[in-house]
Amino acid sequence: MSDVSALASELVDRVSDRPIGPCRLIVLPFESSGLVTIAGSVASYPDPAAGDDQVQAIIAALLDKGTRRRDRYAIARTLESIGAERSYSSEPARTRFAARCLKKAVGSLIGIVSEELREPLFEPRQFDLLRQRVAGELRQSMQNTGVLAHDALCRHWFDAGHPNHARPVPMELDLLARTDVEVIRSLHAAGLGSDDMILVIVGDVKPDAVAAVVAREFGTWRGAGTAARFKTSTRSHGRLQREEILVPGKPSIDVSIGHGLRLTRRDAPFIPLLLGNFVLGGNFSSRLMQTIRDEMGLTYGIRSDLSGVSVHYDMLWNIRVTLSTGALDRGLNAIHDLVATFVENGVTDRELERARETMTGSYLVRQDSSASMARRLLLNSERGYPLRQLADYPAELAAVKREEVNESLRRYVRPKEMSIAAAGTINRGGSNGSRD
Amino acid sequence: MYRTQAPESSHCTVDGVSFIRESGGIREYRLDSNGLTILFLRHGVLPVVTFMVTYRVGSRNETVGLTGATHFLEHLMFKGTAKFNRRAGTSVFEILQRVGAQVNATTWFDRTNYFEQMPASQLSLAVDIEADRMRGILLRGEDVEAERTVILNEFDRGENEPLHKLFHEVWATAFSAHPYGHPTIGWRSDIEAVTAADLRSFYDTYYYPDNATASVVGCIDEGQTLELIRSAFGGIERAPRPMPDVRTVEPAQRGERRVTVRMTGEVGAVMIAFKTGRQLDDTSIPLDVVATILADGKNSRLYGSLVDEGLASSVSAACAALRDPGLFYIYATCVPGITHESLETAITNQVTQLVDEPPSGAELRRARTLVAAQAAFARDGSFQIAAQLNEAIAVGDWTLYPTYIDRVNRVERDDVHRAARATFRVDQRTVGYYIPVRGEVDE
Repeated sequence: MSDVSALASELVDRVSDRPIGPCRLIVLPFESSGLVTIAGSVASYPDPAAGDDQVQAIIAALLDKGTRRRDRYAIARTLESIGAERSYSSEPARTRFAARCLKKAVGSLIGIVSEELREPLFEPRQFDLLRQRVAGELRQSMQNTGVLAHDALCRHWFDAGHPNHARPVPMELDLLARTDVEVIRSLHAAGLGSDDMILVIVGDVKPDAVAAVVAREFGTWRGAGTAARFKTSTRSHGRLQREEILVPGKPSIDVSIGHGLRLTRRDAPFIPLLLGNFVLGGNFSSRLMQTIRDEMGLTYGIRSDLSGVSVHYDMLWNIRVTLSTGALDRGLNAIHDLVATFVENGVTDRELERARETMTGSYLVRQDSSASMARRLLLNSERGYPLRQLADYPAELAAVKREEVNESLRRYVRPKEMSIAAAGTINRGGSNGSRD
Repeated sequence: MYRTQAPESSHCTVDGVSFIRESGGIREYRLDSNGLTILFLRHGVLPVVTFMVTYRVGSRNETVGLTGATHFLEHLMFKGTAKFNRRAGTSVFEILQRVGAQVNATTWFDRTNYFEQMPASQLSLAVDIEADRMRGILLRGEDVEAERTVILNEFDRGENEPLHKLFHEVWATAFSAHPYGHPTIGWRSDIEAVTAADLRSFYDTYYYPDNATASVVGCIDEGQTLELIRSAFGGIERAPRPMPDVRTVEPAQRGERRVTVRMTGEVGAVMIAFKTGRQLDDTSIPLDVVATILADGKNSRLYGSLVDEGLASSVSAACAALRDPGLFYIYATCVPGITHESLETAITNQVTQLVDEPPSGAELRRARTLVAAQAAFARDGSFQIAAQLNEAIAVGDWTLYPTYIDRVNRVERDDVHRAARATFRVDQRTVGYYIPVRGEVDE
């Protein structure tokens, strides 16, 4: 444990962290690797109640399709000739970008990312093609039982306007049909600027040299002045609910079970609950895997997660499992019983110690690439945490007491309020497995 | 703790371990006592290591009635040995995950691999477990029964996915005799019927040190690692008999084959597959370049003619790198309203152009740069490196991995043209359509 803390401290000590114009530039140099990984984001705060989250996702998908200075073929030729790649994605509160290249190309790559973020073309033909593709993907997702079940659970616990809400596919398609290029251009102009910009670079670079490039490419970029407009709280229900989504030809049924949590990443019970949840369903050694898979042979995979985690809004606690048609009711009953017993009795000292050890070791192992280091540095900074937080995390895990874990489980995990969303070829002739 | 030292400039000398060769910084050793191959690469800056044992057995080695045996056995390898088992509180997962290791295994046509990505200081745990289960698994009847339902659920999960089904059907149609024709997970009836005795026989045929390679990639001491492996594996006996050959050679295909998958769904797809040679043949690297020219990046031929033209929402191409002759395949998903036939025609037109004339010098350079950059990116992390080494081991020569970029850079226009002409022949192709239907489909 102390080894990992010491190592994390050493890494943090190597980080160069400085403001460059509107940007917070974080550089972790590894001068022998030959590779450079870039991860960055700006705060963009789309309004989910207005459907702006979908518009922002389309903006992100169009950013690599040409700028006002050159078309997408010219940009693609440049990237391909220097062996570089980049992509953009949309998050509930931010627009993110990720890129990588060989070390000689880092200046060119940062220039292209800047140009694409700031001067996208949004050509109508590309918008039409993308809309066609997204519509196809949305229709295809109506056959994805895992997505259907999880989205149904999210709808159950989060209102429209909360970032963890998931609109039904027909509503997504309707929104998509009503969007046009002018809407895209307008939201880009109004919502995407250098607000709270973070740029993380890990790999074979010199911090001073890359800082000069960032100053040149981003130094004059202005903020859009957006502010968060989403709902932050989960709903209350107070009793178990079950939703079945019948999808023909899907013998493996995806099930999402859980409920919203009135908890954000900043709240003190988060780390104790994270540990408790890990004991329940964090890996192959967890109680759920040991019982539902190993002992009962009911599933290929089951895990429990805290998902939709943010420092801004409430999250979801959920168990995800696949069950073959004939094993659905038996599996659901077994899961319900296991969770109820687990919450009542809590974790043992041995389980807590093992969870701590696992999560600490895993914290190290998961940094075994420049891409994963860059992602972790970015996420930490997006949350507004100091860099030291990365070094302190193992100690934070070590400090949690068993009573705190069990108290967090009793307070936050409520078996009687778990909702069940199941999608697949469900035999409605059988018992429903409900414990109301 | 933070290490940036270069690898040792010369190979290590450890009693009972013979140095064989070195390529691209990777050193090959062999245990004198039983023939276990060891590959070592010093890599990275964090004290993290990936340990991977690759057995040269996959679904290629399965016979009729025993399809899926390799994969079933892979699951049972986690049920434990006399030393590492759940009842004793020492299961593989408990021991390894406790220290933060990422642990799993996979089965493919030519190989099965077991791996642990973990803190370097804990490597001995993984080495002990892999050595112990190489010859010591319990393989109890009760474990087989419990795992059978788990695997059937895994099978059902695959059945949920139309594209997964299309992939299987194309391979099954293309290969009428060779075992590449059956899915790695096996046919459902074989999974339901296989016995503990069948699996024991399979295990006792293939799980020996002289049929395995232990790869170590990470920031760790080479000499100590070799000592550790020798100590744990050195006492295991060699296989008592030579490994059985796969005798079946796929007969020459005498004409185009077609297959259709109808399942509930929304978006159709087309897969066109051509018979290829082995990965060790001269055409395999040029075919990787062909795949890039056709479908990698926005300036690729198929992206331009299918995606940009609004016929497909995505397109990809790849040459399946296998020990025996495999398939080069092109896969595209239809944009709503576009017929499978028009998508197939558009793909065929692009393939034909590459047969008719070689790519331009600029196009070749673009493809070579892309392939080389992707290969370089794929070296970011010990697990990624070990995973690629694993595939090279499976096809018969691990040095394919460290020499890959150089060989890509040596590919010329004529090589690409020759490979395209040899591969893209109508009588050697299998065309698969996934046709989505609404509502229930008769089984």
